[in-house]
Parts: sequence; structure tokens; C-alpha cells
Amino acid sequence: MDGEVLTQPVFRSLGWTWWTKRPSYALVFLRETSSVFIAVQVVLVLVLLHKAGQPAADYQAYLDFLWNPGMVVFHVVSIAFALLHTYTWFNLLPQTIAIRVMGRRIPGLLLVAPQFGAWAVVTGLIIAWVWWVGAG
Amino acid sequence: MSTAIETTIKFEVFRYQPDWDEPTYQLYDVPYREDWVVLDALNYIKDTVDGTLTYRWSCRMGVCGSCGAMVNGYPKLTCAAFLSEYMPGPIRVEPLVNFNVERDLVTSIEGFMEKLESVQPWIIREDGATDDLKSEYLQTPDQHAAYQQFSMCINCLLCYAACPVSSHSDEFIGPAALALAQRYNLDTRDEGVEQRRDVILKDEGIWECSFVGECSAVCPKHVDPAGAIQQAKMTGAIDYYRRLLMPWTVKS
Ligand code: SF4
Ligand code: FES
Repeated sequence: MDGEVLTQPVFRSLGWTWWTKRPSYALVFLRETSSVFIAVQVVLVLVLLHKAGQPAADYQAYLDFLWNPGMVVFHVVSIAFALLHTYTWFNLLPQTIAIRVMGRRIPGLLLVAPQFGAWAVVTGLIIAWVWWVGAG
Repeated sequence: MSTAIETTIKFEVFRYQPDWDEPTYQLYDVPYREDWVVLDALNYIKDTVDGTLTYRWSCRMGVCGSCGAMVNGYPKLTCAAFLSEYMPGPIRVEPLVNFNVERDLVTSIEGFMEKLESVQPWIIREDGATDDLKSEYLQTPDQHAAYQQFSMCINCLLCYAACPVSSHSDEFIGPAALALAQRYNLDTRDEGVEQRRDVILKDEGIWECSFVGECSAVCPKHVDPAGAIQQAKMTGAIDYYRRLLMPWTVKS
């Protein structure tokens, strides 16, 4: 028997289409994909800031580009992805941080709720600021 | 005399022998019993229909961790998967994915054993004092509670079969072994954090995990390996900045 190969194993994996195999996988895939959209939005905003310092016609041309129907669809998809990413990511925090008080882990809600609270406050402030700038 | 027609449930069982070119699925009819689990059905097949069917099991009560298989595509302990959950069937039973299959439902776990050993899942003392078996190290209930969840692992490997990262990387240390590393790192009796550091922080360690989280969803012992890995990432990141910004606080 010396040296004889007794087994010739076959390998079975989830494969590259793993994310289509379960709703929970698909959700994670969408969560991670959202980063691409968010990254592109960051670039668009940076370009916008740059254009703000350029001649008015340039700035206006860029605004028109941002408002073309294809880009509007892109913005809507981006905001949906941003909401999905934020929502799922905030909910994962209790798994990431184990805070113990008197020997017990504090309930996840105590970690999740302040994030949503802070999100609401920051969003409110930005809307108020935009409104104030627009009105002034 | 009772003439009730017996309810049966169809099983599609993955079959593979080392000298075959291709795996195949074999069909079996198994009598349905409300209190039967998939493992009972496999035992029924082996005892009465086909003695060549090969699979692992031992305790039949979710303790030994040896009976894991894909049941209708999900990693399950076959001794904890009731037929009633799958009625009217069919039930497809396959070996855990992300492992080499040696025969039928039996996978090779050598790779996992090496990874497990690499994280040194035992109490390490700087003074080497665990060898004498006489020392006593006290621990409060709170200190015990800090790692208790991560110590419940039965090495069933369902988490590896649920992990897409393990699917694409042979080298990834993976959920259970990293959770056990965290278990010992959190143990107040242990002094081995430094010794485990390189293995846990290397590319194939915690940072390869993309927090899919399915390992924790399938774990029959609620170990939450995904949580253990994220917590280790948090500690790793804090440690990195401490070394960078306050090197004098780091023991050499
Ligand atoms: S962490 Fe859970 S699923 Fe993974 S091997 Fe341990 S008990 Fe099994
Ligand atoms: S037979 Fe032991 S865990 Fe299932």
C-alpha cells in the first residue's frame, strides 16, 4: 500500500455566482456594490467644487450634465444604495463592538439607535443649511 | 390490521467514490417519521437499502460536530435537521461545500486542522506554567462571560461551508479558527496574544473577512464567528494606532 493514492478528492465550492445563491448573500453583495456608486458620487461632488471656481458657463454646463436624465437615474440609484449601505452597516455595529456593563453585553439597540439619531440630526442640519443658503 | 399507506420522502444523496470520474446523485425513498432527522434517514438508507453510503456522525445530539452536510443547499447538522421541516420533500443531501470530498458525504478536514493549530487555540502562559498541571488560575464569572460564547464551537465547519471567502481562498484561516483565536485572546488566563498576533493579522487572517455574516447565521452553537472576527479587527486597528502613535506603551 506504500505511497498508493487512496483518495482522489473532488472540490466543490460556492463558485463565483455565490451571491445569487441566497437572499442574504445577495444583500451583502448589494451592500458592497453600493461603495462603487458612493465613490463615483464623491468624485462628482469634488468635480462640482472644482467647477464652482471656474467661469460661470463651465459651472452651468456641469450642472446641466448632472441634471441630464441618465444622471438623474444614476443619482436615484446612488441614494438607494447609500440608504441600503447606511442601514445595513449601522445594524452591524453591535456585532463589531462588545461593550460589557456589569458582566453583561449591552443591548444592540443602545449601539444602533444613537447612530440613526446622529444620522437624522446631521441630515436635518444639512437640509436646514441648504434651505438657509437657498433662501438667503 | 392497519392498512395505512406509509408516507415516504424522497432523498437525493450526493455519491462519490475516489475511483469515480464524476460524482452523482442517488435517489432513495425513506419512510417519513415526524421525529426523524436527516441523519436518521441516512442511517435508514445505510442499514436497509445501501450499505455503501458513507458519512460521519457520532453523538446524534449536536455535540460532536461531525455530521454536517448541505441539506437542500444549506449547511446543517444532519442530526438537528428534522424531516418535518422539509416535507413533502425532496431532500437533497450533499457534502459541505468548500472542502474536498473524499467519499460520498465525507469531506477532508486536514486544511482546517492546520489552520486551527496555527492560531494556537490553547492557554499560553509566558512562564510556560501550564505544563505542570498544578497551577491554578482564577477567573471571575464576568471574565469568563467575556469569551464564553466563542468557546462553544464544536468544529462542525458549517461556517466554512457558508463562507464565500473560504470558497475562493484556500489560505483564509476562516470563521471557526479565528473565533477560537479570539476566544483565547479574551481569556484572562491566557498570555498568548503576541504569539497569535502575526497569524491573525496576516492577509489571510481577519482582514480577508468581508463580513458577509453567513457563518454566524448557520452556526448551530450561536458562536457568532463573524462578530468575533470584527471584534478582533477593532482590537487590531486600535493596536496598530497604539504602536504607531504611542510606541512606548508596547511591550517589546
Ligand atoms: S463556529 Fe459554529 S459553525 Fe463554525 S465550526 Fe464552530 S460551531 Fe460549527
Ligand atoms: S452527530 Fe454529533 S453533532 Fe450531529
